[in-house]
This record gives sequence, C-alpha cells and structure tokens, in this order.
Amino acid sequence: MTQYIIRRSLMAVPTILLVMFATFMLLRMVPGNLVEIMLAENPYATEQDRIDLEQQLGLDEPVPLQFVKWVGNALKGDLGESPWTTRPVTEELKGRLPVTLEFGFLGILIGLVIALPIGVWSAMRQDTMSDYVGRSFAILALSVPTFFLALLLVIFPQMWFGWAPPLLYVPWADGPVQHVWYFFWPALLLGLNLAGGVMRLTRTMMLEVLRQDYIRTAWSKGMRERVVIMRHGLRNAMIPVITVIGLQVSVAIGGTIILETIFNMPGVGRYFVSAVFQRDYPSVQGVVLVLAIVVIFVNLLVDILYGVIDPRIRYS
Amino acid sequence: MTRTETNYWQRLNERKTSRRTVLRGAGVAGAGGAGWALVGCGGDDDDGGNGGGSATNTPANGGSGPTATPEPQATPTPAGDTIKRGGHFNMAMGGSPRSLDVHFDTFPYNTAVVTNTNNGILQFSPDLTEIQTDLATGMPEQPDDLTFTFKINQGVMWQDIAPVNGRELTAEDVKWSIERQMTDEAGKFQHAYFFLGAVDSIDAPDNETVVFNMSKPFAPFLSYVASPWSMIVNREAVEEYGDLTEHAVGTGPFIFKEWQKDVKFELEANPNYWKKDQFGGALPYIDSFTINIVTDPDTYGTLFIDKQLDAALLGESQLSRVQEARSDAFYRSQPSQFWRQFRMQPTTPDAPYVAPFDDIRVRQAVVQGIDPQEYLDLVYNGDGIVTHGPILPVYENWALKETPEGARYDPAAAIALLEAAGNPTVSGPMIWAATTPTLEQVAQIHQAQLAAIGVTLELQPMELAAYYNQTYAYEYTFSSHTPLNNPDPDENLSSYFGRNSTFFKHHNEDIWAKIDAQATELDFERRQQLVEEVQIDIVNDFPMKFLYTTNNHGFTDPKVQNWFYSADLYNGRIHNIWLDA
Repeated sequence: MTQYIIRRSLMAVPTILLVMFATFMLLRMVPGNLVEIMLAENPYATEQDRIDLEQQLGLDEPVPLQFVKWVGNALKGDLGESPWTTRPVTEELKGRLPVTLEFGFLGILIGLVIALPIGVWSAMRQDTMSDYVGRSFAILALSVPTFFLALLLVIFPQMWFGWAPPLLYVPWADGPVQHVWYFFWPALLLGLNLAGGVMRLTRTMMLEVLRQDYIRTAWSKGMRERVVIMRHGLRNAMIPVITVIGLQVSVAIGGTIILETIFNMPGVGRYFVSAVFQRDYPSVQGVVLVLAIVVIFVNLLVDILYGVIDPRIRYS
Repeated sequence: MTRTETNYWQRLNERKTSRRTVLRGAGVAGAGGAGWALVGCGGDDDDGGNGGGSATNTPANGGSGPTATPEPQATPTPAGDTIKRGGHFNMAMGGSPRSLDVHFDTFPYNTAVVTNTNNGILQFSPDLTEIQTDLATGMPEQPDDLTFTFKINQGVMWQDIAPVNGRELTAEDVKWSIERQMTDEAGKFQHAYFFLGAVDSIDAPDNETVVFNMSKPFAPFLSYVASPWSMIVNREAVEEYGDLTEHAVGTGPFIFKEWQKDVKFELEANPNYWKKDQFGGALPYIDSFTINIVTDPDTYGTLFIDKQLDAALLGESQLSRVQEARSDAFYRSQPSQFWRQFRMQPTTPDAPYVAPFDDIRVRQAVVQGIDPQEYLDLVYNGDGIVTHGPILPVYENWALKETPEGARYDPAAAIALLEAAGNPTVSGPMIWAATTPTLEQVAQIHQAQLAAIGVTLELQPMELAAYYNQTYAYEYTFSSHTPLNNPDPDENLSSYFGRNSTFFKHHNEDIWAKIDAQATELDFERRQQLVEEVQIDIVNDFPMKFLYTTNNHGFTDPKVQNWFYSADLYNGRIHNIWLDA
C-alpha cells in the first residue's frame, strides 16, 4: 500500500507540472494583459510607465524563464505576490482555502446523505411509486441550476415567512453553532446538485448488484434484508459510485464559486473569479495549483478506498 | 494683496450656496456597484448601488467641528439632547477594496473605510459638490497663483494605536503623506498624477503650516487636495508595515479593528477623536460599525429587508421588493456617477479618423440617431437621467444644462446628414464589457436605434480584461463604455479628451488647447465659461454620444439619524450619525 501511495504521488508530479504549465501559458495567451489593466487606472500613464511596470512585475523576461522561476519558487512554498494587493498569494489562500474545503466537504456529505438512501431505496423498490418519486427527485436535482435555487432561497422565504437563511459569514471562533448553521444552507444546495447524479448511479449499480447470484444466495440463506442490502449489495455497488464522488470534488469546487458569492462566503471561488478578471497572474496560478493538488489528492484517496471497500483489489 | 479672502474655492462655494437647492434635496449617488469598477475607466453600475450606504429623506443642515463650511446632513439636528450615543451601525458595500492604502487603490470601497479612519487637509461635502476644511483650519491662503498655504488644526492626535500611539499630527506629517502620494512608481501610486507635474515642492515651515509651491497655475489643485485619495496617512505605519494594504492608521473618528477578507470590516470609535460636534460634544456618536461585503444584489436586498443591515444602497433590480417589504425605511433615489458613453473610433495625430468617420456629418448622424431616454425607459424603467456632455449633471457648476442642438436625438436629421454625406456604408463591430445582462440589452438598443438610420452595428461582447485591452489599445470602431465621473471638471475633460488622455483619445488641437486653458484658469467664472465652451466643442465634434446615468436607491432604517451617504462611496464618512434605538 505504501509503495502504491508513493508511486501514485510520484505519478501526480507530471500532472501537476502540466497543470502549472498550462495555467501559466494560457493566462498569458488569453486577451487581456495585467500591465494594461493596471495602467488603465491611471489616466495619464505613459509608455515608460508600461516598461517600468513590466520590469517591476518581472513580465519583461522571456516567458519560459518566468515559468521556471515561478515553479522554483512554488517548490519553496512561495506562490508569488499579488500585484494588486502586494500580498503573498499563500497568505490570501491560507484564510480562504479552509472555507472552500469545508463548504465543499459539507456539500458532498449532504449530497451523499441524500443520494445513497434514496438510490438504494429506489433500487429495492424498483418501478414502484417510491422509485418514481426518487428518480424524479434526481432529475429535478440535476436539472435545476444551483444558483437559481440559491436565489429562490434568498428571496422567497423572506417574502413569504419573514425568514431568511444566514447570509453573513460567521467564523467558527465567533460561534460554532452559528458557523455550522451558516454553512448548512449553501451546503444543502450544493449537496442537492451533487446528489442527483450519485443517486441515479447508486440506483443503477444496486439494481445490477441485486441481480447477482451471490445476492440470491444471501437471500436464500435467510439473511436479513439489512445485511443483504448493506453488506453484500451496497458495498459491491459502491466502487463506481465512489469514483463518481471523487470526480465530483472538482464539480463541487466549481459549484462553490457562485454559491460563495450569493452567501457572501470568503472562499477561494470569489478570490479566483476576482483574480481572473484582474489578470492577477500569481493569484490565478496559485489557486489553480492548489485546487489541482486537492483534486489529485482526493482521487488518490478514492483509489485507496477501493481496496478498503473491496479487499480483492490489490495495489501491486 | 493676498487672495485669501477672495480665493477661487471660496467664491465657488459662495456661488453654490444659492444654487444647490435642487441637488441638496435630491442628493447624489453612491454607485460603486461593480466589484470591478475601475475609477474613470468603465466598470458597470447596472446592478446598482450595491455599493453600500444610504441616505435619509430630509434635506441637509447642520455641521460639525471646526470646518469652515457646514457639512450637509441628512436629517436636522434640532438640539444636542436629541442625539443618542452608543450602538453599533451595520452597513454593507458591494465589493472589497484591493488595499486599504489610499495611495494604491482606486476602488471607492477603499475610501468607504479610510474616510472614517483618516482625515484629509480638505474634504468634499458628502454630495461632492463643495470643498470643506478637514485638517486645515480654513481654505488656503494664496499669496500668488503658485502658492497655497494651509494652516493645520492644532491638537489633532493620531489614533492611540501602534505604531504611532497617539502622538500629535504635525505639518511635517501632512507634507510627508502628500509627497508619498506623489511617488512616481507606475502601478502603485495611482493618484500621483494629482500633484506630479503641478506641485514643485512642499514646505512645512512650522508645525501648523504647509505650503504647496506650484510649478504652474493649476485649477484642480484644491479638488485633488480634497479628494479622499489624498487622505493623510501615517508615516510610522508605512515604515512599520511597508505599505498600508492591510492597515489603516489615521487621525479619524474610527479605529480600524479588523478586515475579514471578503466578509467585513470592523471599526470602533476613536475615544480621542479631535473633532467636536456643533454643541462641543465628542464625536463620533456611535460605538462601532461594520461594513459587510455583499456582492450579490439579491442577497443585499434580503439582508436589508431582514433587518440584518441598517442601511442599503441598491439598484433598480431590488427597488420594488425592498420598498414593499420595508415601507418603514427612509428612502431616497440618487443618480449614480457611472455614466454611459457610446463611443466612435478614437483618434490620435498618428491615427486620424478613417472613412467614413472622417466626415463629421457621419459622426453627427450617429450621434443624432441615438435616443438616450429610450435606454432608460426600456432597460431601467425610466430610472435615471440623460446626460448632455462630458460632465454629469450632478456637478451642476460644470455640467451642460442641455444637449447642444446638433447632438440631440433627431433620426430624420441623421438620415438627411448621411444622405448629404453620400450615404456611405457606416458599419462595424461594437465592443463592450459583457459583465451584466443589462449591458447586452443596452447594446441591442444601440443596434436597433442605429439600424433605423442605416448604420449597422455588429455586436461584439468581450470579457472584461480583454475589453480593457482593446479599449486601451484605442483600436475599435464603436464601443459602449461606462466610466466614472469625478468632481473636478479637469479630470473628466483631460483624461478623456485632452492631449495626454488615456481613457479615450480624441485628436482635436483646439479642444486640447481649451482643456489646457481651463486647467490653469484660477478665476471661477472664467473657468466655468471655458469648461462650458470646451464641452460644447467636444459634443459638437461628435466623438461619442453622451447618454445617461442610472439611479441608485438608498434605504435607511428609521433608527439611523443624520446620515448622508456619499456618491460612489467616494466620501464614506459616517462621522456624525447616531442611532435612535
């Protein structure tokens, strides 16, 4: 197992390098240039100002050299400094990344809490009313955009019942209960969005598994339903489901951006959007790098979980 | 003879005292809606005043402290005993500053914070139409056109926090701060242009005197001194922290306590604040306040309806539901300072107009083919005002009172002009920063209106940064742009139509000369005349159509007293408010 983890971690290095390279180059290829934008705020900027600013920001050097320098600094934990705020990117991310990770984790957790029972129940009661309701729910969750649900939640409960979800961020230190209550609503919306796909896959996989000979054997041995479903059914159905959950981490990160805005959450998503608009190269590069590492790590975790769920899987 | 008693700004203010009645009632806007609203170069205020703040519904009076000109207040102050002390005020703004360093940032979200922690030598009134004293005891002495001598109030104390620890402010501090602002370093000291090239040197001959020695007569000087971007910052803090990106240390009424990035600012009353109210009582009245960062307009509206905010400045999209749900709140509509331009090809000496725009009749036809009121009616439910030239009507001393005849909407005349020009093919792409759906609606109206006179626009929405790149390369045929107007006419004329302009390029040496002339004209009436003339010349040269500005809508909980929120958060002072409950 240890060898497998080391091998997978080493295999992640070229992936990360590729992500870094692609982000770095694409940022410089898309229309919209950091220096132009910074100078656009000065009504009397001159050509000399442009040259000076390029030098200050190190953008006058050849792009490959800039890339090598950035990678070298990143290896030392230095992701550069935002030219707009003059603050280290690592400092900016230190406060924001935990918020986004917490939000994403809660969203996925709520999504699983919703999706797995409904998926299993739908499979167990195939083509009954409860199955139809469950499947309809999944389609609804998949088809209604999260931002739309969020706006409904922000506007209508206040209008109808005089109640609004908490919309101002509360740090854990200022009140753990309020903190969790604040995260619950956006996490519920994120979870609903993620639940649809997981629910449908869980149902499909359970239907497949429940038709297997070993399940028939389990039933014929007189095992209790809970044991048959949970131990022999769900466990075998979970491998592809876990794969999808792993992939949904990146979906969840994407989904956090809009919800962070609507719920005033100080996460990476808002920071990232702002950085993109401002062509804040170091910040964009830093965020993409960190998120890529998170996604790679989660997928490594998923691969390890395969073996935990199905001991037949060996990491040799 | 010194010109102290009859100086330019005193005469200007005297004139305005009798002319401001309309605007005093109406107030002016805090626009600032877009988190990405670059000062002077086109953000977007379409989602409204999401910029924060509010205004109450009673015309101004009153004043405070040692200022020479009374500060406009939102509600009357009948007697000192009606003022209640204490409490926490909760407001919001639509985005975050990039930095708390006023010398670095250009987002008004910065000044919403720093105008409460720091003071300037002078200040604008909240409605941005008057210049008042702040740290200065009065308006400056002007022994000649090249010298401004300010006397600084004595007993002004820096806040009692590290690293300055409550020492007294000196003239040397003021000199140092303005000299820092003048640092010629591109990309950082964004407001150096206020003084660079105009201020030759600054002297502090004693602890209470600051002398600006000008290299040329410079009419915008006092405007720039009064700008929130010229707040006096603390030297020890800069030396301690390197810059003031995350620190605000000043002489102002509130002490900066905390900035939770993308969440909120927390400020507490400065117990040693040097200014007193008109009854000699201590300021500020409230104990503390929070500025929440609320970027989504729907969320902002809900927070005010839910009484989680004491004040809100909202766009048209939130107006009806907030009015309906909070009928108890004070409400006032205020014009935004973001305005809309429909631009044609920029020109420089090396890149003159290309056909068919080299024929002034074609440009005039385009201008006459556009009806500004229709945008307001169709996109904003009539919620805004038509503008007539490069200066917004809110600056009533400088703005044109009506659109020059040849630039008014007249499609029949536009068609006739095109016929006279030989019916050339007038077409091309129109670019804009596609940041909100309303901007697309605006673009579609441009297209439809001009199609009616035979001009074809190919709509080309662009991502914001890409738009800026193209805009500042000055390579486009048509553009729909949303810049921010500023209090001094020179900033609106020089930076768009002057010889060294960068926000737009328009090559017309007569216009350049007139813009130069108004910038050095220290006589108010003469300058006003020059500004009017050059605006008419600009409009009649048809480089663009000046369109409209939308309104923002200020709501305040009834408990909030004596607050007039300034346009664009430009002057975010809440020095004198109190809470009734």
